[in-house]
Amino acid sequence: MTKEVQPISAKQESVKLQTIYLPILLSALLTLVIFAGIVPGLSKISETRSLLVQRRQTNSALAAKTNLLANIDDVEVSDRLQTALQALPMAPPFQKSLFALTYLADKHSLNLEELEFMVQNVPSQKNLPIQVKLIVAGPLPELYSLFGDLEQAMPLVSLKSIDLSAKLGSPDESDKNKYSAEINIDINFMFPPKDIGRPSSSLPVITSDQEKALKTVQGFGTFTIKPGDSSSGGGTIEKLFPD
Amino acid sequence: MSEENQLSVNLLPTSAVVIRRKLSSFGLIRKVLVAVIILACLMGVAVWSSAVVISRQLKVEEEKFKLLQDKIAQTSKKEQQFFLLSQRLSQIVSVLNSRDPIETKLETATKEFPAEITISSAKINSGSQTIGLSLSTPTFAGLNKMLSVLNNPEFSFVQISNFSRGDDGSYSALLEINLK
Repeated sequence: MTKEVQPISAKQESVKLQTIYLPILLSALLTLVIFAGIVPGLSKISETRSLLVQRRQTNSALAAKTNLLANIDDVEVSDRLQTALQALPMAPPFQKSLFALTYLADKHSLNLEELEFMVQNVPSQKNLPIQVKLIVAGPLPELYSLFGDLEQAMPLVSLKSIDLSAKLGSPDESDKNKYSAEINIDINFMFPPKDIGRPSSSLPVITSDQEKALKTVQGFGTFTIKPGDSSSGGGTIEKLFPD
Repeated sequence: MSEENQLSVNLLPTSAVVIRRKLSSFGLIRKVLVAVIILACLMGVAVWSSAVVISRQLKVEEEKFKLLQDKIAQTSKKEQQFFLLSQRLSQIVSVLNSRDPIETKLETATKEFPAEITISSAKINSGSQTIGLSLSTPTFAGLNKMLSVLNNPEFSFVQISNFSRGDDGSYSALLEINLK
């Protein structure tokens, strides 16, 4: 069986090829153009979607934050902050510490023999405590009660060392049963933070430990220096320990 | 058409059968391309419509974000106070936890000794469990009492580093003790 082959002229071939090639070329170009649009479109959609997810998360955090803020009492926050600032002032509390330590020595009828602020260790930027050396003299019970008051005073004090020595060789009869105590303490403070929360950041959570600590320091003694007495070299102590 | 052209066409190496096969395969390619174009168009429409939907959703979320920010701005003072409070409280916890009640330890240790034993000196450092004591007593009975106090279960460790008798007959001892 042999097929009969029809001769095709060169002109016919040329026309047919042109009518096929041209649409193929055009449709290939069209497809290319459409896909060229789809690919960046898809990547843009992906970007927008991730942005949307991010924005939704932020909005949900912000909504929670606004709800929390709405439920917080202004006065309560203000009072709590005041207590916290008394416990940890925003600047080194030299004047307050000087007054408080002098007052405490007087309160316990102790002789304040030396009071030295370690100036070379005064922190400039870091929240390092102020180191203070205190030498007081008096009977043991009064000294112990001073130590107890120091631990329960604001700004927060940390006792670092106590060195007691009896005034045995003193010719003064009144020095009998008296002790001299060299006390090294750290007075704590904390500089204000550089960044006080961004609107988009979530509200910090106050833990049960922090609540407990706040209740503890609320029972600590504090004092205020009355303004207007600076001409006399300092203020007067209004209150040191709660009644 | 000139004779030269006819001659050149006749010289082509491909037969009519081959050309016909080529033509039929071109037709298949054309169909495939039409299908691809339709698919591309459909995909284009789908991509465009989802882009529009997502952009609208994003716009809604942006507006919500602005509203929430405005709300927060109204309570910014309270927020800052709360932030400061939280930061201070965290530091207060850390200070309170780091404190060592050395005054209580010292008082506990020294109160164990009766009045006839004189505490010449006492030293305690924060973080150290050891209390250095220098004790003296004028009588032998006092010395006995001192030694019996050292057996107190309150003390977990006692080390006598020096023991002496003075010219006046008094006894003195240098001790290091640890509280339980």
